[in-house]
Amino acid sequence: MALVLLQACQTPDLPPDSPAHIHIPVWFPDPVYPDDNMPTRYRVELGRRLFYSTSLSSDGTVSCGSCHVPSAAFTDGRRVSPGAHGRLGRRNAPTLANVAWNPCYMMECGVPTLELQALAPLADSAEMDRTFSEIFRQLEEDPLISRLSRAAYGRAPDAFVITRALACFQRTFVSGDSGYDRYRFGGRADQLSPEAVRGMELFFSDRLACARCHPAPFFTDFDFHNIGLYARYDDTGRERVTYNPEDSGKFRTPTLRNIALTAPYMHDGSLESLEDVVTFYSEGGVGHRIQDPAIRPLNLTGAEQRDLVAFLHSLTDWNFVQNHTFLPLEE
Amino acid sequence: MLIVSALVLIFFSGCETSPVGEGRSPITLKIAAEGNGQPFRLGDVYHSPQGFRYRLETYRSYISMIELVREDGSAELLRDFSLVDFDEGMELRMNVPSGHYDSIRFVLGVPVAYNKHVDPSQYANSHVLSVQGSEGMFWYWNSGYIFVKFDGKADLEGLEGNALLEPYAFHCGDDPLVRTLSFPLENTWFPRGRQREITLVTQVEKCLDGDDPIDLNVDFITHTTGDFALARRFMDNFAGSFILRE
Repeated sequence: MALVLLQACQTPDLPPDSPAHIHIPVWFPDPVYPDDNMPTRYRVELGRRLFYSTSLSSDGTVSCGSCHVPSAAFTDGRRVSPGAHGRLGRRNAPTLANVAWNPCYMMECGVPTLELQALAPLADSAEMDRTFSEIFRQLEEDPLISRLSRAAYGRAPDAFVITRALACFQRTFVSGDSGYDRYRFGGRADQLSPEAVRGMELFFSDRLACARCHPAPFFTDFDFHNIGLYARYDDTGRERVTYNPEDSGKFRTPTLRNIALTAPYMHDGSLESLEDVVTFYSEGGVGHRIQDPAIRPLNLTGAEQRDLVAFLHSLTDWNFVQNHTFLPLEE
Repeated sequence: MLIVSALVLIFFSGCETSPVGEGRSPITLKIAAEGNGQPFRLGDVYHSPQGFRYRLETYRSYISMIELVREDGSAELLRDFSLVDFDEGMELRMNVPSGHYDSIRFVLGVPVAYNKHVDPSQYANSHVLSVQGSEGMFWYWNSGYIFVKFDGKADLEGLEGNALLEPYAFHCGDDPLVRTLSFPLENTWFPRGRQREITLVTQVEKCLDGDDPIDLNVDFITHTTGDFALARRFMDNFAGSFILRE
């Protein structure tokens, strides 16, 4: 297994375009990087600085890192997050773990690339609430950002640079070293408790079929499902981009990696705990007209529910959430 | 001789784009809006089909791929992408190969090939499709351009003395709502060296009072995803609001 070599760009003798070393577990498929945005040390550093820059918000209080905190697997523990001026959004902040492999972005997948996704929170009045002309002018006046921008991308900070640098930094968020991974791929039988092993067997069983929507290694199928959370959805999810009523209430399956750290749950943060989630699935949803047929009463016993929760805890990658290279740079 | 040549050169370089040289016809293309037959201005008050007073605070649109089309189907591109604020309108001057053109054709919105799967940050910052150029006219959560914004305030009680306080907004976009319009030209001859003027006019009141009248008291807001059917109705009315003047 290759060592994690991702470093802040503090080595003055390395050229700006030297590759950023991002460790990919061998049981993950290779990520696909855009030709115009291969990860380099300077690009990752620039993205890291932008990620934690509260000056990108209209009131100077909110950065990407405000809602995507590394210790919470890049969520923030809130049902919905406050943006600039305390305005609330309406969805739960998703984890950024393994976003490099997402085929599309936002919960209804209306954004095709990670680069483009950066524009959404910057412009949203309930998030960063900035105009782009303000952002570009501000960044050009920042000597360090301006220098890094030219070193990393050969141009002044603009939309191209900002979107790509943020994407580069986020593509370093690779999580594949949980207790489950060590047990399953590393031959480490000691990594899962007996409860977690029973929970794992239940999870991957035909009876529960959890893995149908949450298959390894990413524990998401990247597809869209209506799980019957509500009989009527105010937020119609995927239908918002397809205009197809048969997509009402469908959201992209979230990953279960680090799920024990990313409460509350569901697209709107309406379920507080993993126990609540497991109970919900055991009861089989409310019976929405287009509820996925895989969501049906499972009638889990109390012991089975506890075992499932134990298994979900084993998907926590402590090295990932404690990785200092994801933290803000100390000035 | 040198002075005469210089004078000729100066004369022919006075046009906006390339000099009117051999076989070229100068054209002035205007895009404008009118309300009740008068030049449109933001803040002017109009009446909806149901008699409600309304004024516009925003009226802007992408208009793309403006072409003069010949009888054989070949075309001369006048302008690829424009973002028109209708209170200002737009005026372009260019030269086209002289000859006969049967019609003028243009797209309301951004053509499918350029809408949802092209990264706006790849355009130069001054381009109307760039991140900066499209500010306020791009849906960042569902990548794609807003083709037209038609919004403001109305009085929905129908009392002449009332202030216009009720907001309405028609923000329409997405691939199914692209509209291609074509108008036959009455005068198809574009002679060498002789100025032609073509004006595309949108008649404001037709946006609500078109083939499918829109009642602001019932249907007053769409950002396309929230009410795609209404967005389609508005887009069809918007398309029907255009006329050609030569």
